[in-house]
Amino acid sequence: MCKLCCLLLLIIPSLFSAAQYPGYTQIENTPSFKQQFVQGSEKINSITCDFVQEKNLSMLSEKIVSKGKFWYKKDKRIRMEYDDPFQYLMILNNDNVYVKDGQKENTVSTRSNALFRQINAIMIDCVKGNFLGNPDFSIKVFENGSTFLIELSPLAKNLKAYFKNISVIIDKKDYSADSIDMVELAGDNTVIHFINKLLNSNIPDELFTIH
Amino acid sequence: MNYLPFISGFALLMACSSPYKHLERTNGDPGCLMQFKPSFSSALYKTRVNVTGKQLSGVLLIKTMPDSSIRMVFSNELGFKFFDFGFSLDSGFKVYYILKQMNKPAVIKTLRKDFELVLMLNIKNDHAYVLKDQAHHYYAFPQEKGINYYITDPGCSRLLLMQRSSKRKAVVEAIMENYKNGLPDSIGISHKNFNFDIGLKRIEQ
Repeated sequence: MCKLCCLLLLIIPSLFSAAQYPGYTQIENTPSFKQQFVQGSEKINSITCDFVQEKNLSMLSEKIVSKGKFWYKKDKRIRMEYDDPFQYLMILNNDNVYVKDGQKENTVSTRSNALFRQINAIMIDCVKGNFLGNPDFSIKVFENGSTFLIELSPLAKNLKAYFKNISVIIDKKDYSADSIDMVELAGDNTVIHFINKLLNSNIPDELFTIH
Repeated sequence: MNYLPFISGFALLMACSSPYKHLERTNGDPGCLMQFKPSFSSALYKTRVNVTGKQLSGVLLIKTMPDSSIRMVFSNELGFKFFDFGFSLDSGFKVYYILKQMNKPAVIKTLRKDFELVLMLNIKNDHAYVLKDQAHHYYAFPQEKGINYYITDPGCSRLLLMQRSSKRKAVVEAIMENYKNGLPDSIGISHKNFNFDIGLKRIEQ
C-alpha cells in the first residue's frame, strides 16, 4: 500500500504538468535530453527570421500584436527590429543593450542592472537553446511528435516577482526556438513566434554594432 | 514629438507674469469641455517617458471597461509591464500592478494626478468657475490640493492647454492635439518643477 502511495506521489505531479500542455508528454530522462539538446543547438551559428509578438492582457480581453525582423549570431548577439505597428530597434551584444526609438538612442550595460542582465540572458538562452544551464530557472521538458516544450520556472527572487514561468517551443529537426511564451504572475503573457527561419546564413557583424 | 516646443513656448509666455493674477471672473459653462474629453473605448499609444534625463519607452493601452472605469496599462516594447492602473468615474483609483522599481507613493501619486488631468475625470465639479483674459478662457476645477485649469479660446472651440497648478503657478502642463473620432492623436505632459515629461502618440492597430 505504502509503495503504491509513493508511486502515485511520483506519477501524479508529472501527469498534472503534462496536462498543462495538451499533446505533450513529460521527458523524465533530462540528462540524456540535455546532452542531445546541447549537441543539436551547437550547430546553430545564426538565425534570420520574422517574428510576431502578442501581448495578451487577460483581464482587459485585449491583445497587442507587434511584428518585425529578428537576427541572432553566435555567441551572444541579437537584433530585433520592430516595424509594425511601431518602429523600435533593440540590439543585444554581449553585455550591452542598445535601443533606438525614433530619434532617441540609448545604450545600457547589463553589468550594472541585474534585471536587464537576466532578461538579456533569457533572450539569448531561449534562442540559442542554452537555458538548460541557467541557474535562475528550474526546468521541465515535454515533447510531442515534432517539438520539445521547455518550461522554465524562475528561482531568482526578482524573476519570481514577475514571471510565473516561461515556456519555449523547440523544433526537433534543428533545435531552433519556434516560440517563447512569458507568463506573468497576474496571468497576462507575451508570446513571440519566430517564423520564416533561415539558419546559419551569413549575417554581417555590422548588424549588431553598438555605436 | 512636436508638442514639447509648444508647451515650452506657452510656459515662457506665462512665466513673464504671474499666470493667474491678471485673470478676471467671467460667465461660462464648464460643460463645454465635454467635447474635448477623450473617449477611449480602446486605444494604443506609443509612449516615451523622460525622467531626469533617463528614457523609458513602450506602449500604453487605455481602455474603457464595461463598468465605465478606465484601465491604463504601460509596458515596454518587449511586453514587460511597468504599470496597470484603474481609474473610476467617482475619482477612485486602483493600482493593479506596478514594477517594483516604480512602486513608490510619490511616483504613483504623480502619475495618477497627471493622467486624471488628461482623462478629464475631474470636470464634474460643483465648485468650478471660469476666468478669462483677452485671448483665453480658464475653466478652473479646485482639487484637494491646487486647481486644475483647462484653457480654451474664448469660444471654447479649442482646448489649448491643461494645467495642474498650485495657488500661484502651474506645476504640470499638458496638451491633447489632433482629435480623430474623439481621440487625441498626441498627448503631452510636462512637469515644471522637475525634469519629467510624458509623450504619447497614437498607434493604429
